[in-house]
Amino acid sequence: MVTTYSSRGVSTSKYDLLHGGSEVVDLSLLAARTAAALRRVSVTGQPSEADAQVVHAMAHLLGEAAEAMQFFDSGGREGSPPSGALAARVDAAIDAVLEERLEPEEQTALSQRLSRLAARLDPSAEQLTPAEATNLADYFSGLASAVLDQAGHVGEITTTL
Amino acid sequence: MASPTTSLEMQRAVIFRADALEEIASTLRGQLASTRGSLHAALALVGALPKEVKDIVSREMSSTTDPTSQIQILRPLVRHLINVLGFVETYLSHGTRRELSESLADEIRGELADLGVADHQVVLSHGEANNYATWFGDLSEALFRPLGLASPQMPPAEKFALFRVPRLEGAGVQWRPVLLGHEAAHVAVKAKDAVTTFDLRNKFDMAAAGNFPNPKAPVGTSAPFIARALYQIAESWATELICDLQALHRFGPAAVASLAEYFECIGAMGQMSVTHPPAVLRIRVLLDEVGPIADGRLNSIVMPWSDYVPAAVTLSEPWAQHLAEIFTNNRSALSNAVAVLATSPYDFDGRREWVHRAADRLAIGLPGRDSVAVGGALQIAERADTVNAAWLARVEGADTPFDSLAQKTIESTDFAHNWRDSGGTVPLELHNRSDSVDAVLSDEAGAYVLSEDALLRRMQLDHNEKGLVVARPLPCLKVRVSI
Repeated sequence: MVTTYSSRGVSTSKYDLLHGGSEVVDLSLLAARTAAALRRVSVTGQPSEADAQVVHAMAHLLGEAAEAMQFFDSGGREGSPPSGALAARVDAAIDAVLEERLEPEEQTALSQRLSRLAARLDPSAEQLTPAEATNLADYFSGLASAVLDQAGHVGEITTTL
Repeated sequence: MASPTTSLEMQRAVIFRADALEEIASTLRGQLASTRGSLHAALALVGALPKEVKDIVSREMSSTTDPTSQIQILRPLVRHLINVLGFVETYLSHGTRRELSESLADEIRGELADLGVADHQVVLSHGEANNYATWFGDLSEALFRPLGLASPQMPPAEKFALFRVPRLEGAGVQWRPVLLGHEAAHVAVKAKDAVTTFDLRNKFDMAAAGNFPNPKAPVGTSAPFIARALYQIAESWATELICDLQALHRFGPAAVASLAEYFECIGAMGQMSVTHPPAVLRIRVLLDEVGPIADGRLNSIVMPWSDYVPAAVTLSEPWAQHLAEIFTNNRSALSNAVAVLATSPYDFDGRREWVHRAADRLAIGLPGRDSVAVGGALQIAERADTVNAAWLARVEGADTPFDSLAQKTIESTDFAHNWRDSGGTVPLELHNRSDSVDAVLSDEAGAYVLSEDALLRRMQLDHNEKGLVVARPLPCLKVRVSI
């Protein structure tokens, strides 16, 4: 993400393909697919092979994000900061969850929240009840929208000379 | 409330843009000369995206009947197409422009090869006058990964280094240290994980960092998030400082001059950005690293900036000051990180005679010599000699088109290097230097026509007025060289 300033000095966030836009689309599409998969699970009880792959991918990403947050929560003593090719995706995931406007005490517990979510989506975990699957589907549906909305544009630049 | 008609309308929005992107990529490729191989390759990759997007739409819409879920999947897809259309417009639609010559792209390719990252295809384009923008990495990944394709469906990796440069400085020899030194270094700093060599993790006090709210984590944010944000900023700053030091490593004093002049002109000196350290800190680090320069003429290249930048940098924002102290206290670790890039240093002190002579020629309207015969062996100028000579000519007040002359010198020098590396031979006598004006004139006394030998002696003669130089004519030459 690149922060730019308009001619009037107002701070605006700008995403494009090479500056955060790719990660935002990636995360939003994964969240939307996860939501759709969980809605099907809430009806059928069991995920199809394709749905299981989508849910597993989201669980993996949340696990990485939890580990990264644990590093900062522990003052650098545990976990590790995100690095390499995954760093941008993981950071996007953390930022997306942060966009939920949490209270400071909830922020501190973010690594646990991410871990719990990841664990619940893990294929080896206990089967989701229909109600649980629906709740999680709603959560990821909201995440898909929120992530994409933060990277939107107003569609024009107007400047008075 | 989303309805099936809304979902259908969004499907049309995706398909319409996918088709348009395919046509745009095809049209842009059709206009290109065959020499623009990297640009062709990038556009071909973009041209393969629309089919994948349309396949996904078809697949996902058949497995999800709920219009709300359908729209949630279509929204990121259409946003991705918009992002890619913007990317094509920004990086890939410039076609063929004189200031974006293939020889400049070749210089970058050469530098990337020296840095050990020659597997990146180079594409140059023009951008804002106040910004160099460099993007590098696997373009295939950036285009196709967001679609969530399974591994077998992913196109193979295709690494690119895309540079958007200001039209003036991007082509100017004086700012080669910015483009070839700093910007090209970004690719290798990432590939060789130079920031890890700097070992930020063990120089960064996580507990203390939580006390420095910053633009990424303002007051009111909890300490771990403030620390995380400051760590991210520190990683970006470390990357920029390592690239600056690499520019110094490759270009010596000219790196200080070109970075400092550009930063001052665009107003970067005091900017405390989350991505870049304030330029005043960057130049301070470079000046401290280069240390005293014994040669007076070479020192004059950096003097405008050593006079200007304070010996101790003080920043008004506590978070920025905290980071500045980390980096000024660990400058040697930054240099160690530069070492992992494994390029040869520019020995500016050892090359000072080359720089002086080239600058003297630029100042009278002549390109520098590309080669000189010394003790029966041919020596070829280095690119950094010419870049430093351009700055020296400038600080000494040259009113010739010294940058164009330096460009000509670099082209000749690159040709000479390529010629020799390919096994070509060069007649040494052409490159024997001579200062004996009287002897040359005396040999010619009484002759009305200069013989081949006499012409050769004139070409060997290093004299502003009596030497003979064969060079292309340049506009605005204020001093003419005559026989």
